[in-house]
Amino acid sequence: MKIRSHTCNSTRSCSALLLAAGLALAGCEANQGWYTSPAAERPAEPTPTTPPPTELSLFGQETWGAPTALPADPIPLTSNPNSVNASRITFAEEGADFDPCVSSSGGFMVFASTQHSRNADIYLKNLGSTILTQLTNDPGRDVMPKISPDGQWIAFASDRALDWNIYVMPRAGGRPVQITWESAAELHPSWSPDGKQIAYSKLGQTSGRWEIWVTDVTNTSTPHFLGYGLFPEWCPKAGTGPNGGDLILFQRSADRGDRAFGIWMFEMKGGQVGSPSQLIGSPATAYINPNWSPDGRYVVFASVSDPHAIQSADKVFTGDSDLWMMSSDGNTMVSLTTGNSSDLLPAWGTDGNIYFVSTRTGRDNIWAINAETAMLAAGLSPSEPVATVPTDQ
Amino acid sequence: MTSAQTMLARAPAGLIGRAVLALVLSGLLQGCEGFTNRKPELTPPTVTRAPYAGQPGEVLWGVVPLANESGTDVFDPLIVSDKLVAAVEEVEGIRAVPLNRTLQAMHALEMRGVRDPGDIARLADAMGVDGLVVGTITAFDPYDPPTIGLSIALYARTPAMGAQAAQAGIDPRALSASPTDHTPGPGFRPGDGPTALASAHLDARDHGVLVALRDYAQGRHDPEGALGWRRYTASMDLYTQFATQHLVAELVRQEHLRLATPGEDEPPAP
Repeated sequence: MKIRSHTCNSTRSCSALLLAAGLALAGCEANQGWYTSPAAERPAEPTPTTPPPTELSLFGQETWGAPTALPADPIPLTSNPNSVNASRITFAEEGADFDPCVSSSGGFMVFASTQHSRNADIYLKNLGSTILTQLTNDPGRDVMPKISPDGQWIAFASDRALDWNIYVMPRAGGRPVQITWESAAELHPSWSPDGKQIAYSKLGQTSGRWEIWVTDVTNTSTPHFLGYGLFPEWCPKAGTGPNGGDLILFQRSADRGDRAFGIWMFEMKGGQVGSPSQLIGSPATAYINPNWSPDGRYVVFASVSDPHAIQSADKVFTGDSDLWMMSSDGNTMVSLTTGNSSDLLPAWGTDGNIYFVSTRTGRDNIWAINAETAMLAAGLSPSEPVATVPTDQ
Repeated sequence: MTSAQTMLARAPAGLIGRAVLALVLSGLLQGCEGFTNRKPELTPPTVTRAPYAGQPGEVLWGVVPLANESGTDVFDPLIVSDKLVAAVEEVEGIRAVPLNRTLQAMHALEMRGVRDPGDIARLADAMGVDGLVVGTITAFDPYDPPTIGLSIALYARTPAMGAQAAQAGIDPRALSASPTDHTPGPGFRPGDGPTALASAHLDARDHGVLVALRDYAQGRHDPEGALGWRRYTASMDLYTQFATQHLVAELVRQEHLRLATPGEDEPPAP
């Protein structure tokens, strides 16, 4: 009996223990929420999200600012130039030759070339010779060379110091001297007729626009601002302005519409500039790369009839562009080149030739066309006087 | 034997025992002392540098309070936004406007949120910042392993960021041939889209995320601590700190790529 009761008691105790344990476990499960961290109750599991799109859209499914699609291929070029009396000056089979500048003596030409390197260097070529002399050999890009009026110095733009600046080096070669120092991009030097100053383009960091500045070659500490524009070209003949000052050509776009470039000019006298005047401009046609004739009576430039048509994959415009010349009063215009090629960057030599860059053989090379022949064909006399352009229009 | 003799007889054994004990204890203490004097070597953390090195002064960014699109409200989006401000401040060359200043500017403009590019321009003008960061919180799960999703965009506002890009991308040959003007023009404003985008869904179960987290934690924690770099998964606050820094580093990396000149090496990925 005692044994049985002991057994019964043990069984009861075990049962009681089991029951208590079961109740305890049930209680734990029921009171799971007593520990709330970090929230009062466990929030619902967030629904699995697909990886967010890489492009943020603030405006629902609409997107904005989609890039403009460019054509896959550039305009195919023909090798059938329609221009008369154009002769080839450089013969790059690799890379490109561009930015020609002819000395005032007419004896030699400098230009930028990527014939021997991906980054452009400055070369010199005596006109009439096929020999090229490499003047710079820097890992940076050296472009836009301009010969000083006395033919002894060459100014050019280079990014050898990581940002674009203007340098001057001796024509015979030698170490270039940096003459602009700002972190803003400074390009396209142009010598004054006396060779003491250089005008250049600078991308204004505050304005966000291309600006024209001028600096003394020997005292570069105080450049000063002339106006807004790109690629200034200082008239090689001094005092041709209506007020006896020097004329400076440049290209500028309107701040509206498609912003096609037009050609403008202002007169600078005593460091001060007058109001700019537009020589030619149109919303439907772009006019770029203005340059002077050696006597300052004519202006040569490139005309782009469909400025928004084509850009190649490397952003170099390869559409149709033609050269024109115009009297400095804007009254007479003569077509110099035509055809399905890109003719740009004209430079007027003292030998009566206009040197320019053309893709007429499928690659940028320098060509020349006789300006006098074109003027005579248009019924103009090369010696015909031209009225100067007023600068207060 | 007298009690004194007994004592004298016992004394050497007791003394020896105490001496041995003292010797052992002193050895232990010396060992402990040497151990506590051993401090972990200091390792500086990785620093992100902005690409605006040529700009005088530092570029100033503002951070718009992040929108909460995570589907949960267990957290305060302003706290995450504040972490983002702190992450921007950590970048060398960039300063960030405190979040409360952004909130005050939005309040003054009666702006409840940024809805379109016009809002971005107005807010950036009011604050006078060079860039504005907007974004959303796309996921937030604080339970271990934690998960956080962020998507942020940088809008350049001033030529300090735009002009830099313009110079870095200048090709004089292309510029000579260009018939139209592509410069930002006066009154430079944010363009049609952001200049840099970064988004990530950082799930701590993903070993790739953990590798990035471990790299981030280097130099930011006590390696001798109990959790080590894992403390960043144990604390949602720290995990959010890592996530914001990860996204900001990606933004800065994209800015480096945008401003890189040809031939420049690509900056390392964050």
